[in-house]
Formats: sequence, structure tokens, C-alpha cells
Amino acid sequence: MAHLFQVDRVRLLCSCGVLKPITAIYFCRHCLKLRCGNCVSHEVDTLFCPNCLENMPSTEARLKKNRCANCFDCPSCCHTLSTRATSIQAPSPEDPSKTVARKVYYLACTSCRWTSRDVGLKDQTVATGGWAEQDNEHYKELQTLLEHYRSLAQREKLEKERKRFSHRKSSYFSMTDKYSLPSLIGRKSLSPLSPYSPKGDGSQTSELTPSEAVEEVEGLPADIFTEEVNLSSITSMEQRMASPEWQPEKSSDLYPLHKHILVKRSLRCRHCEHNLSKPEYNPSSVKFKIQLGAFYHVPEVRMVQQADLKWGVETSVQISLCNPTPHDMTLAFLPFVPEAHIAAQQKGEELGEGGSLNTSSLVRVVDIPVEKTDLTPTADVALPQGQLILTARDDTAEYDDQDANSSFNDDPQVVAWRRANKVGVNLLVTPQSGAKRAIVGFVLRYEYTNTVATATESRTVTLNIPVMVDVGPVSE
Amino acid sequence: MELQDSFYPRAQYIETATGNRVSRASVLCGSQNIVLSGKVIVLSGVIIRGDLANVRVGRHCVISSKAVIRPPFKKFSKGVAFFPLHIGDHVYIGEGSVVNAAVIGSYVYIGKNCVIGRRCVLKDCCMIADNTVLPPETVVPPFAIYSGSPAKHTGDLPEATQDLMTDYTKSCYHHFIRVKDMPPQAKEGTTKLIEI
Repeated sequence: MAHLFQVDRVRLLCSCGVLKPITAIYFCRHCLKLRCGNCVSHEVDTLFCPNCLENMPSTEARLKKNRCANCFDCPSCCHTLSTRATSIQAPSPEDPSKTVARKVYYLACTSCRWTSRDVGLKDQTVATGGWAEQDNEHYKELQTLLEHYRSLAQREKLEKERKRFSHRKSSYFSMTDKYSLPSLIGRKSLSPLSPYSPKGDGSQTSELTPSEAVEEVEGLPADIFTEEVNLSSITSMEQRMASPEWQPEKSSDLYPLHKHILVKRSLRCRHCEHNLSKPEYNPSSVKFKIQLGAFYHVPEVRMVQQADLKWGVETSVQISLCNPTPHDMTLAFLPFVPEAHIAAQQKGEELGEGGSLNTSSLVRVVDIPVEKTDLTPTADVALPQGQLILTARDDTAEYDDQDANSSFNDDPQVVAWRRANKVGVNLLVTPQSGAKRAIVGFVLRYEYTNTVATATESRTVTLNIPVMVDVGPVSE
Repeated sequence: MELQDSFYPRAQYIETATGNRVSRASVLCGSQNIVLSGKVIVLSGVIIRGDLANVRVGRHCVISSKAVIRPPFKKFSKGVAFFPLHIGDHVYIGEGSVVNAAVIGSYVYIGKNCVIGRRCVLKDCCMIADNTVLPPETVVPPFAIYSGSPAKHTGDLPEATQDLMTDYTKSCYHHFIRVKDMPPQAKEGTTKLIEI
């Protein structure tokens, strides 16, 4: 959604050091930090077919190679195939001398007009299913290879586990005695330790004969030089890659492909293991059980109008600030110094790690390396001094027309307008000479009202969020 | 970027009791079969074919200029039949797009110059990029971006799409301001609203 409000012109600095638009950032209200897709763990919640929108259990999906059993893609243009019904004259089952009309079904692409009849697939008498699967000639070989490597991996894992096990046997048992075993080890896989799990013996499959390279390669057929090439009968690269197991060279060998399934995923903060986003189970639902997007917790900054910018000329640029939370918010602008910010963040992380370890020693804290991002601004900005108050979001506000201007003591130089939970603020931007686009940075300091029910400390916390705004193109 | 104000002269638009703003330069065929649920903007040059089947448009939708909304038909052995077209709430339909879908969910964004084929189903919170041709009978799942010709799933929308689209269509409505006469510098308001 790049152009809806052009959200990518204003980007926030995530705690992992990546600049992302507000819609791609999450706010962990337990760590009180910004997270993004780069620094959270993704979990597959449900698998579903994008065409029939039906759920599929993960075991079934693995069996079917993550493809839908009933929906097909066109092998020629990758669009979904639809089932067409026609009636044909067929001999009647009772009396072969008479003919009766029977309904038969075939697959057809509504986009490129490919049909299953093109490749000689027989019409079906039932509307769904019944289509013959294409057999891969290397299926057996691949299967034995897979088995072989699986047993190898198993053996390797077992050995590793055994080594670790003998190392700290005592500590492990004291831990299992203290807490109930299944809940503790639930996340870590215990399977290599259990006597039932290693199925592959290793010895039987290791006799696999390795493939040997052939010295002489079969020559090209003679007619390849004489025969005229008919490009329309040869498949394109995309068509070949769409069916990787067969990679047909002729368009007459294109068979319908099972549709790839999609996933709904939930996101989890890697530091505190709380969910940041959890969608509802139903594939066609757009609601979320848990949604901690920055869009709902961090004041949103938006450009209001495109200003004409010139090198070295101070120009007033209007931005709007929007409070998405149901609490009033005090806000201030601070200058953004990238080096100081990174240093402070590292310091805070060291402190924060100690704190989080106290709360639960069993949570595995995964360190995410801080990304290097270009944070150098190409324009200087004069930020307004003092504090601003942003009123709480009120969904009924759009129905009443009262003007809220009077109740705030705003500096008219700074605040251009107020509308419900939005404020228009003027910034003075001076683009540096030579810059093609003016990019300014500032730190948004705001009072966040903590919504976690168990929070023992004060309910409001002061948070600093670095923001980079692309003010627009600069001319000489 | 916040949306800019655009103006429309009072004489060129009809405003209904529920807040629909319909351009007089649009063509609504079979208007007894067309339901606009409120605060819908229909800009100039739009054609809605209510004469073929019922068309129901949800609240806070924007139908940009020169778009065509046309209920889909299905071929049967004995001729064709037209099916009603339902459009959800907070849907934006871009300039010059032709919509033949069976169902369009809520919070859907359709770009400029798109062709939505017969009997397509667009679920909630999806997006069709500009200049896309969606072949007939396509199902677009939630949070998907479809683009190209024939359209393919090329991207995903953020989780906050529902609120982004709500905000977007509402501000389209609030920034579409009625004036008695057009201010001299502003052109027909419709063009400005689309250039975002």
C-alpha cells in the first residue's frame, strides 16, 4: 500500500536498526519497543487455499506438498483454472444402441483459453477431483534419497544430543524434577532423546549407491539442425519453472498444476515471547485476536502538503500528528543524532537484558544483530520547542462539529490546525546543497499510557522514537 | 501524505439524505436497482449498470471518474443470466476501471485502469494495483496485492489495512468539499482527488 497516503515517506527506526513505514512496524507493549518483520519470529498459524479459501491441516499440507487438492493453476499462464461443463452424446449404459446426453467436465483457463483437452486429459464425469496425477519417473529415486538423508540427519542429531546429554546430565535432571517436564521442554524438541523416535537405523540406508557421472554425453539429435523451430510449441522459462518436477519443453506436455496454498501467520516478539499479531483462524476473516501494530500505539506522522524546496532555503513544511490511542498524549520533538541514538540503544539493551532475565530465566533471548542503515539526514530542521498535547482518539468525534481549538494553549507559529486527535505542525526545513531529496530526522518523545493490566510501575512511560521523513525533491 | 481538499460545485452534484454525492455527469442505468448505502462518492463519467441486475454499494465508497460498474453474467445452455453485484464498505475504485465482479468485500482498493473480470470474488482487505487485468472467476484472498495481466499475487498488505482504508475513504469524503462556484485556480475537483 505504497501510495495510500504514501506511508513510506515517513519511516520509523525499529529497535533492530531498520527504517520501516509505520504499517510494517509492531509495538511490543511488554518490552515497550518497536519491532519489525525483521526482528520478530514468524509462526504459521493456518494454511489455506487462496482459491477455495479452505483450511488445511499442516500434516495434510506436508503430504500434498503445500498445494490444494481441488484447485488447479493453468500451466500456461498460472491463472486459476475453472471447471467447465458440457454435455456429450454417449451410449446409454442400459441399451448400447441408444445414445443419451451426459454431462462431462473439463478444466479451462479463463485467461489464456488453455483447456485440459489440449493435452489429451480425459473429461471427468464428476465436477471436482478425479484428475489423474502426473507420475514423476524419478519418484522412487528421490524418495530413497530423501530417506537416506533423513536418517543421516537423525543420526547426527542423536550424536550431538548424546554429547550434550552426558555433559550436564545432573543439571538436566534437577531441572526436570523441579518443574513439570512437558511444559518446560515443550518448545525444544525432545524427540531425539526418546527411545521411540529414531526410526531410521542408519545402517540399512547407508548402502545407497552414489550416482556416477557419465563420461560421454549423448549427442544432439540430427534433426535439430534441420527442423524449423516452432516457438509457439515450446514452453517459456516461467512455464517450465512452474512445474519443477517435470520442466516440460513442449507446450503439449503442460499439465494442470495444483494451486499453492497460502498461510496466515502470527508474529511473536523474540525478547519477551508475547504475540504481536495473531489473526483469526478463518481464512477469509480480516480480524485479529491480537494486533500490536505501531499504527495503533505510536503517534502517526504524515506529510500534509508538498512544499517547494530549494538548496539552502528555509521552508516551512507541515506535518500532521495523529494519536491512535484512547488516552491523551504529550508530545515533544527532539533532535535526532544517529550515533548517540545507537550508543544509547546498545547501552539500554545491556541493561534491558538483565531485567528480562530476571522475570523468566527460561525464555531464550535471541539476539538480533543491529542492522546498519543510512541515517544521515540531507536537510536541517528547526524543531518546535515545548510540548504538544494530542487528544485521545474518539470514534464519535466525526459526528460532532465542535471546534477543539480553544482549549489548548498552542503557539500559532507551531500548530497550524487541530482536528479531533490530529494536529498539524509546522517544521522549518533547510535542504543541504547538493541533496536530491530532503530527508530530515527527529526523535518523537511521547507519553505512552501502558495498557498491560499487570503493569506495576507507573502507567505512563516516556518513549523516544526516531523518525525519518522524506520531505520531497529539492531543486537548485 | 494527507489528502488535499478538492472542491465540487454544488450544481454539478446531487447530495442525498444519507450523504451520497453523485455527479450529474454520471450515468446510473436502472437507478431503482442501485443502492448506495451512504457517504458514497460517485464522480463524473461513472457508469453503473443497474439495468442488468441489482448493484449494492456499501458505505464510504469512492467510485472515481470514468469507472464502469457492471453486474456479471453467466452463460447457461439457455442464454445468459445476470447476477447482482455487491460492493462492501470503504471500497475505492480507481479512475477508468471496469468492474464485473460478483462480490467485492470491504476495505478493497482497486487502482486505475483495471479490468475486473466476470464473476471475480474480491475478499476483504485486498488490493488490485493500477493497470491490472483480473481474468474472469478469480478469487482474491484477503491481504493480497494482485497486479499484472493476467493478474498474479505479487505482494501482501499490512495488518492495518482495514484502518488504513477506513481512514482513506473517510478522508476522501471529508476533503471533497462543496462550493457554490468553483474557485478560479482549482479545476474540477474530481481530478485532484484522484492524483494521490
